[in-house]
Amino acid sequence: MAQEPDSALVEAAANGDGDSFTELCRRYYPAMVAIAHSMLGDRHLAEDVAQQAFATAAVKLRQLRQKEQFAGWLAAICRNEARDILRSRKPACSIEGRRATGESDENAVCESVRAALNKLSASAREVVFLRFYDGMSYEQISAVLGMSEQAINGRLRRAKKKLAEYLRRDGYGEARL
Amino acid sequence: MNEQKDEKWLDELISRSIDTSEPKFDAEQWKQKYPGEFQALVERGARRPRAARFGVLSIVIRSRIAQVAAAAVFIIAVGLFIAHLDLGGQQQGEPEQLAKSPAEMVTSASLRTAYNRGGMDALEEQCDRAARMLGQGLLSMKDVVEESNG
Repeated sequence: MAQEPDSALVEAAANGDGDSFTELCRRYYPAMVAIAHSMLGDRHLAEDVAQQAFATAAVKLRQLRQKEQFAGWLAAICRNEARDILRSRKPACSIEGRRATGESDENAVCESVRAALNKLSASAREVVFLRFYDGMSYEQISAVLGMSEQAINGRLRRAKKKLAEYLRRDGYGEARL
Repeated sequence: MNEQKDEKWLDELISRSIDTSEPKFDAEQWKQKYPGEFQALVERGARRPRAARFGVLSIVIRSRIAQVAAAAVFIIAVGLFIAHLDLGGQQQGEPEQLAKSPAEMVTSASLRTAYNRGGMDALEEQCDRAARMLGQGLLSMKDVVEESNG
């Protein structure tokens, strides 16, 4: 089942095959968490949002006409769920770190990176998160974003260039690492 | 060159700053968290064959154009059926269809029907046909009437 194309799994899931649907969830969970994380800045909340997106998709799966566009459709649901969370939350939010405690210098560097990420546009930040999350192939990122791999590479390169600029402006760079 | 340098230190910084470890999807936990949604998905499959059986009907019910088309088809079918019934009724009255033997063909009822249908020509024709079936030459009307009256 792991090798089945998305469209076959979506077709089976739409006909009530629960296993096919959970396989799709397994396949796109990292991508959905990455998308929600890029918007919310909170990993745990991002996982909740990704799961909520799957629940919404389970109910609305029959409305999906083009089965091969499942990943993009799911990503749109996930973004909507994350937006709902953002609307009900305080306006100021920042991307949280992987370490709650640690050395102050390390924390300062991480804070600067998160601040720099928050300055990027939503689409640029999204592609950075998708690329850096483990367990995700370019093919999956391409399916989720509905873009070619070349276009993804281009967007990622531009985003990283901006990030580097922001960080250098804050006094960070390769020399300080 | 500078871009390559950017890639390395920046990649390292991003990886250190954000928790990007691979999240694992726990299907059982998800099913427990969203039982209604999962049940709706699975039950849809159980209802599917019935929906497929009535697929055409459901399209007709949903679409306005299909409703009009279905009504037109129904009216035409009823019209054709009624026309077929009328035609059958007319054919039933024709004596040559029913009269199998020469004796039946020259009964007063058959002859009257033939006369009503085509006048004297039809009457003559029916008599000729009865005579041919008997293997005789042509009969005159006088012979036929005498025969009929016994």
